[in-house]
Amino acid sequence: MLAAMAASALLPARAVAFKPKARLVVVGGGFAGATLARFVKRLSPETSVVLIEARDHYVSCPMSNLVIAGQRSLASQTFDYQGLEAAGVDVVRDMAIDVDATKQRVRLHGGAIMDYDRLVLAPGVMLNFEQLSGFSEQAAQKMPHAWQAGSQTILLRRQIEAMPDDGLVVISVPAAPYRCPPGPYERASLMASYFKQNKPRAQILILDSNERFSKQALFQQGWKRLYGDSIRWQSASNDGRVIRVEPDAMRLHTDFATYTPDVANVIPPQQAGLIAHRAGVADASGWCPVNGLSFESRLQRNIHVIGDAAIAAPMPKSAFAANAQAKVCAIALVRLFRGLSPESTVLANTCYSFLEPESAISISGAYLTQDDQFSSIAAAAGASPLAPPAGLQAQEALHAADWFRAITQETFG
Amino acid sequence: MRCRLASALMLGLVISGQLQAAEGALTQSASQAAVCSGCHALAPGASVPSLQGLDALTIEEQMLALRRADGQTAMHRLINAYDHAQIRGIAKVLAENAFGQDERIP
Repeated sequence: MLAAMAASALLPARAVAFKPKARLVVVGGGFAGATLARFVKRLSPETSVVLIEARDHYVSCPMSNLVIAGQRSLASQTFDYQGLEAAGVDVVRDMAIDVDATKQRVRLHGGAIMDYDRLVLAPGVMLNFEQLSGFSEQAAQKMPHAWQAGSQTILLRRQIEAMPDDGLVVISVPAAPYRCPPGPYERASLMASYFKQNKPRAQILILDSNERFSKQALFQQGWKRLYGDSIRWQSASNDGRVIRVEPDAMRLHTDFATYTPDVANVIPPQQAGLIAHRAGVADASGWCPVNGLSFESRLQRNIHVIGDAAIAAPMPKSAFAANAQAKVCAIALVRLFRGLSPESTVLANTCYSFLEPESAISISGAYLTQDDQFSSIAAAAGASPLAPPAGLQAQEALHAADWFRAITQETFG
Repeated sequence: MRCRLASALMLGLVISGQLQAAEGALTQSASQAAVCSGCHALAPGASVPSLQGLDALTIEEQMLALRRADGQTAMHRLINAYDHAQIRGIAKVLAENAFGQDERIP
């Protein structure tokens, strides 16, 4: 009796659900998945953490527009998984091809079956080539998307280097939501910066499937100031939506016009990575609805979705958001393993965009997480000023570089 | 009886020890503080300071000063998301190095 009392005094009720040897499987080794795997291991070394990732290296999209502009090397964008292995994460070089949510099992391309207590899917985006008539993965060898960094980034770089001095680049932007909302406009800025030095008569036309874009006033003001009229933008209602492409003829069609540029950067529509669909966690929108406190899927129990694949609007699909969500999800998972409920928190995001290699602008937001939603905290939302004090945009370029160093170090070690 | 009591106590101590190992890292303040390391690395950057090795009061005072300042960086905006109690909680988590980040600077 005394023993029982002593034990119950020492053991809180929640210890009943304590799972020291919980098995966590993470699919996808980008900013979301790799951060989560490392962070769980740090919070809870006794948890078994398996990361399934087919690639040996991760090539970062953030900062890759500087590679296109010839300001960075692809090597400086490339990270391996040794840091995760050193942290005790079991990195499995394979591809998850199916999930049995009832039996809590993941099937890998190589044939292995992995059981889990909790599964985290961080598959990023899948490019929907077929949603744009005439476009395909093969067509992207002629009209690169460069929206997954690597050989596509280099291809686009080579194309703008090789094009005539008075050439035209068209950037086709898909309808939102897509990965990295300010990305296409930063790309236009940095291409223009390269042209200003090397091909001053070159032109950039952005054909947009949207009516407005992130940091629009800041970008448009920067373009005018730095590049005159060399960047033009057409909104969807101004016949900006590309509806069909002919890669062999280098033609792009909108409702009323046909363009034949020297370089076509066609960014296709996107949705959550394939495994999210196989696992049954994506809804009709193609993205994954999640609980705001735990990032657990609203469609399948014990499966969590973080990063670009998750619906966390008004949070954008950014590397910063993916990394922040991963850490909050990691804390929620360890709480769940210990029989504690996940709690509400404040998430944040900042996206830096370069106007030229030494000047940047930013947009940031903070978000209150609740059971059923993410809501923007108005007092913290905003972007860089339109009339910046001297030196601010240069300082923000340094912030961007520091951010990239910090986040990649935290994610990959 | 004594033996059972002893082993029950030991079991309790072991489990509660494990529970407490990272408890400071599982609080609401911790989940708010976890965002910081997205920009603030272990080693200071060219323009973003490190938060390592600072005591809680210093971090709290610096965050409150940031809230009063009229600077125009991202952090000057983000600071408005947190009230004083949240700032104090975040400062404590960072000062205690609750996530057990590697102190070695790469």
